[in-house]
Amino acid sequence: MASADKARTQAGETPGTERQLGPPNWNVVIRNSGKAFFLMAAPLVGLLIFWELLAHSGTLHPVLFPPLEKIWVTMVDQAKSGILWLDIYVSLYRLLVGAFLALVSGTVVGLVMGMNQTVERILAPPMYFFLAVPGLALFPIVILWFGLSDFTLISVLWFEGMITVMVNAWTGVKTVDASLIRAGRAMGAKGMTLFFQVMVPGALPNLIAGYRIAFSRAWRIVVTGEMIVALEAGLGFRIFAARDFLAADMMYGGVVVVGILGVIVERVCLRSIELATVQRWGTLRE
Amino acid sequence: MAIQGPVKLQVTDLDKVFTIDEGWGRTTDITALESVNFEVRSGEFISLIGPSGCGKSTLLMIVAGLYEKTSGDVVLDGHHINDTGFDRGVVFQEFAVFPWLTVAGNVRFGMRMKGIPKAERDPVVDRLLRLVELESFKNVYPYRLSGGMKQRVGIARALAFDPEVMLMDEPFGALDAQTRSSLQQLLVQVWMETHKTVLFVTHSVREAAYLSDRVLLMSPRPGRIAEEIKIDLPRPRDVLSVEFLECERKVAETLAGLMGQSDGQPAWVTD
Repeated sequence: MASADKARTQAGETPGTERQLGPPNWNVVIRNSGKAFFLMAAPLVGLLIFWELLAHSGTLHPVLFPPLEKIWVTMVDQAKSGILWLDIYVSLYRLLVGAFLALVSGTVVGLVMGMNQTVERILAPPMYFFLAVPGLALFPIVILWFGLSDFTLISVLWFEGMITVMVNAWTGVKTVDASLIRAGRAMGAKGMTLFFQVMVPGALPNLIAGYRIAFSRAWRIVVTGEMIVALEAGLGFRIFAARDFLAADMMYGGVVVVGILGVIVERVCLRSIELATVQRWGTLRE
Repeated sequence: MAIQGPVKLQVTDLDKVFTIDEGWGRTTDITALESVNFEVRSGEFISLIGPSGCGKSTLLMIVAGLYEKTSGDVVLDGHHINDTGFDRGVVFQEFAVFPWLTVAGNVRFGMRMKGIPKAERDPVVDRLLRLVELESFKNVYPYRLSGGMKQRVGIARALAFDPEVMLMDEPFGALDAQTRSSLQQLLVQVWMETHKTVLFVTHSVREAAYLSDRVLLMSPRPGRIAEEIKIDLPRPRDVLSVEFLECERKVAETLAGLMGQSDGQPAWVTD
C-alpha cells in the first residue's frame, strides 16, 4: 500500500539494505483497509441517503426528483436492452480517439516548442489565444464545416485536448532543472540525445499532469458535445434526449454513468502511468 | 609527495565577460575572469579557492565546456577545449542526479552516451558503486538517498566513462559538516585509487588544505590566480597535526590578504 510505503521512508529506514520481515499482520491490514474504504464510501453513502430521504419526503416533485430505486430500475432496463452499453461504447470510442490524437499531437508540438525558440515564438501567441477559447465555443463553426457528425465532435475534442497537452509539454521542457541539463551535457548528451534522455524525462511530471487535465476536459467535451451535435447515440445524447420525454430518472442515471466512467478513466488509466513513472521516481507523491 | 607528471591542463590568458541585459535596451558588462593563467600536471589534485563571486565556479564551468569563454585558451592533452567532452567528468554542487534513473542507471548514463557496449558497463558500475560504498543501493531511485549519498552517485557517475580530469564544483558545499568530512576522506581514497587529475573548487580553506597538492587562490572580481600554495604533506592527512595547521594557516592568511585584510591581525577566514 502506498501509505505504508510512505511511512517506511519517513521513518528513515534505509532502502536497499536487507530487512527481515515476519508474516503479514492481518489485523492491521484489515483494520487499515476497512478504515480507508469507510472514509471513501461514507460521504457517498451519506449523499445517497440524503437524496432518498428528500425524494420520499413528498416536498419535491417526484418526476423531477425520482427516488434511487426508480433510477436504478431505469438503468437496469437500459442495460438489459443494450442501449446503455451502446452509449458507453460510442462515448468512450469518441473520447479515446480524440484524446489519443490530442495526446500524440500535443506532446510532439509542445516538446518541439520547448526545444526550438523559433517554433515557440510562432506558436505561443495562437496557443494562448485558443487556450482562452472554450472548446465548446468552436462547435457552431465546426458544425458548419463538417456537419453533425462524429468527425465534428472528435475534431473539437482533439483541438481542445491538444492545446492543453501542448501548454504542459512546453512548460515541462522549459522548467527542467538547469543543473540536470548541464549534467547531461557534461556526460556527452547533445542535440536529440540530450532531448530524449534528459528533457523528456525531466518534463514528464508536467506532461502527465497535462494528460490528466486534457482527459477530464475531453470527457466534458464528449458529453456536452453529444448534446449539441445530436448524434444517434452516446451518454450525452441520451441525457439530452431524455429531457424530451421528461424522463428525469434516465437523465440522473446518465449523469451517474458519466461520473463513474470519468473516475475510472482518471484513476485506472492515468493514475497508473503516474505510479509507473513520476511517483516511482519520487518527483511526485500523492 | 609532489607529483611531477606532464602538463595535463593548461589555461592561458582566459577572460570571461558576462553581458547583463538591464532592460530598455541597456546592457552592462561584468568581467568575471581576467587573464587567468595556470597549469595542472597529470595526477595532481588542485583546489581553486577565493572569495565568493570571484569566478571560481565560472572558471570550472569554462574548463568543463559548459560556459563559453570570452578569450584565451584552455588546452587539455593538446586539444583546445570549446565544448563538453568525455575527457572531463563534472561533479556539481547541486548533485544534479537524474531522478528518473536508478543509482546504477545514473552511473551508466555517461557510458551509454560514450557508446561503451552493454557488457562492459555492468562491471564498471559495480566497481564504482563499491568504490563510493553504494553497492547495496544499486537499484534505488535517488529520492530515497540522503544528500551525501546523492553526491557519491555524482562522483561515481563522473568517473564512469573514465575521464582524464575530474572537475568538481564545490561538491560538498551543500552537505552538513559530518557528511562533508566523510566524503572528503572518501574522495582522497578514490583519488589515490584512480590517479585522476582533479580540479576542485571550494570556499573552505580546510577542505582545500586537506585535499590538494596545490591551492590556487583567486582575487576578488575580476578573478585571476593571485597566489599559489603547495601543500607538501603525505596522505591521509591529519587535520590536527602541527604541519597541517601551519599549511591551513598559510592558506587562510593569504586568502585574508587577498580579501583586503591588513597584515598583523589574526586570520579570520574560518572554514
